[in-house]
Amino acid sequence: MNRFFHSRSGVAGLVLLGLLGLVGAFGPLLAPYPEAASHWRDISYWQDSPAAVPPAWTRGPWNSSRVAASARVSGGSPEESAMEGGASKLTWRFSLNPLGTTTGRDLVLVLPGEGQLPVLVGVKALDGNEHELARKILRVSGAEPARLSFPAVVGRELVVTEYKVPGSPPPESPLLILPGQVSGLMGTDVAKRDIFTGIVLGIRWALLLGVLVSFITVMTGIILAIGAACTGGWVDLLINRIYEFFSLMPILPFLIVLSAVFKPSLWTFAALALLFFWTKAFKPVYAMALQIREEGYIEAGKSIGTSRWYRAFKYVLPALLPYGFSIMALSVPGIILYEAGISILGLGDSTVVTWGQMLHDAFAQGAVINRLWWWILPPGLMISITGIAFSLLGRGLERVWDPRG
Amino acid sequence: MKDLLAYYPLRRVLHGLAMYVLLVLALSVVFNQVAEKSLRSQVDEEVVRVLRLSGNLEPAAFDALKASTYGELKSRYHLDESWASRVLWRAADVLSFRFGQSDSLKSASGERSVLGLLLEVLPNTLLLFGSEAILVMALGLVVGLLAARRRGGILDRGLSVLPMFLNGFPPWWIGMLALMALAYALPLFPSGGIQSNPAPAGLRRGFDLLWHLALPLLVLVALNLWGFALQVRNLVVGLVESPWIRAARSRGVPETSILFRHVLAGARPALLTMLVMGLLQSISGNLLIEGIFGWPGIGNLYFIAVQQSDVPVLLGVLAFQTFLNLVGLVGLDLAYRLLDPRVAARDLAGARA
Repeated sequence: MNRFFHSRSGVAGLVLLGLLGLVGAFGPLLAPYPEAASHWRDISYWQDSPAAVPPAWTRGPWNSSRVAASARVSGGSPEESAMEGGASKLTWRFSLNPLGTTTGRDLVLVLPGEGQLPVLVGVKALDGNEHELARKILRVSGAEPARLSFPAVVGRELVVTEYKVPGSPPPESPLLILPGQVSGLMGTDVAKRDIFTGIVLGIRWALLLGVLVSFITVMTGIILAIGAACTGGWVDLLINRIYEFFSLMPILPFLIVLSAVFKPSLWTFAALALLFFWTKAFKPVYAMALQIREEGYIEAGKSIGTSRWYRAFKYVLPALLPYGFSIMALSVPGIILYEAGISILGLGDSTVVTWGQMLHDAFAQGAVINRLWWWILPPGLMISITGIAFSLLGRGLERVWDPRG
Repeated sequence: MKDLLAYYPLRRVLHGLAMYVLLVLALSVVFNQVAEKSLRSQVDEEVVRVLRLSGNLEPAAFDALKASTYGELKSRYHLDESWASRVLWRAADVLSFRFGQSDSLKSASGERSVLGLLLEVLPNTLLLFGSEAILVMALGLVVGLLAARRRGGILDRGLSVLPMFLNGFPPWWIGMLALMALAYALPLFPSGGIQSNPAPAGLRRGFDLLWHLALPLLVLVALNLWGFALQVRNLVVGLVESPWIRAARSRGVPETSILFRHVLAGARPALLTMLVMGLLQSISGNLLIEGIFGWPGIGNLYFIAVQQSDVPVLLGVLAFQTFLNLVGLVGLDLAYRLLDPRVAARDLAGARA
């Protein structure tokens, strides 16, 4: 174990993975949207956020016109003007300049009330003229106020008009939400989701899938290899033929077609991966097991009358385990890459958030064309960093069984 | 017969064929249900077409025609037989490259034959990945030899870690970044596809193709070059220590001659293996790159077929790709023996013993 801690790459990998694990475990507590795991695809959960805005730290002296914070402006007391028959018109005026900009703001208007709610929304433009934005009769219930969104509004004031009719309760004051033009650590995507939150949620699935699948596949490979090498005869031949059969399949195409045809969840992906990935560990371990089988201490074990399986699992397996652990670490990046590759085709598990799926959404919804770099960079970087961390760890573990490396 | 089977190339080809038959059988079993689902709907489609063409018929004649067309089509596709025989027939179809008709995808000439679709896109895939393999080999040789010449130098040390880092990057993600930076932010390259629309004529058509090829090629080469260079470096470092190189050096053979006539000649079989394996791995491992760049090759066909859930195309492409893979591996084995007479000699000695 000491040798591991002397390898710089091993320690670096361990530190990186520790950090990832910490953020993955405690990140949801720090992330601005703690319930996002169950609401990632719930449009109404994200409706008050800005759509496709860059990270907050991109705001600098060169573009200080961009407004960072989301603001909620309440209407205050309305102007009341009487109409015929005792009814009256209530007008709220929202200044669009509470945070210093009047151009191109996305607006969300929240209108509480009960029953049918006629509403007239206009904007007072920069030249002082008023233009109508919406004229609607909304259906509202007390629990769920109506929401109107207006993309990229230019103007000085938003003018909201509602009507007070005798005999029914007076309309409540509406609320204007001005989503920021930059948001959070990593910005938002076109569906208004916070990308940093998605990144944090992705960690657990990447780590879980990578570690679980690589552990099971490598252990399967090792056990089959030892079984083949220590049994010999037709079992040996059979296992080697099965190995050949699976190793001839191009993995990614098979995974794609199987996923496309059977629409799997994350767990069936793991099961499919298991079917193909055990071959990666099998061949090298088999070669080593053949060598170890001929070692003197195995012969010695034989001469004192130990059984074949005792020798295989008490002598050969422990000699191969350190090697197995390094293969495990080294095979994690591939597994994460395959999951991402399946997801980029839109075949991901829609009940979880993975980085591959974020990249699929980004690609499908024009992030490349619209140069929304904050949507494309973080998920890919996380895939890469996680992969590199496991590769470094694997290199460190290689030192343990092969000090020459 | 025994003498014939002792002839290695024949044995290798037969073995490869047997493996292919097994793989196709397995595919046929696993995908039998979905394959037949689209086959049945295609039969329905065909029956409707026949009935429509037959014009106005008496109800009895209509029913008779319907039943007879159904019966004929079902027996043509063996849909009326037992499960085992259906699976075998499906496998036999795939083995004879009869991949059937697509559900909806059409080739440029408007046909729905899956084989036609495949043959249409195959040259594009070979162009992209073939030029990648050649470039990676040429540049990788240079970089690997330079690293081997100065062991422990910056290049050498860089080469020992760079492939590990690059392995973690999803190639298609790098493709997305390259597209965003070099096609949309700075419009240096086209945003995808294989040709401008409308395509220019004559010599400019060739340049147009190269211009479209450049960006995906650049991404592939930049990612895969270093691993190849590292292998070359390790190979050369191992060979340089070998007795015949030392003997040549002590004879006073000039360095360039040692490099080309001794080191590279000795490395030829291994280089060939690396080249072919790299090509095969790249075709199946980097197929998503084609989808990102809209490069109309096999990988892009997966992209489109997945989006349209066109099962016959997916199954056809998969079988075809497995076939290509096997042809590559068997061909590699055979070529290896031509380049390295020692292997053939060892086999021959083994056969005599």
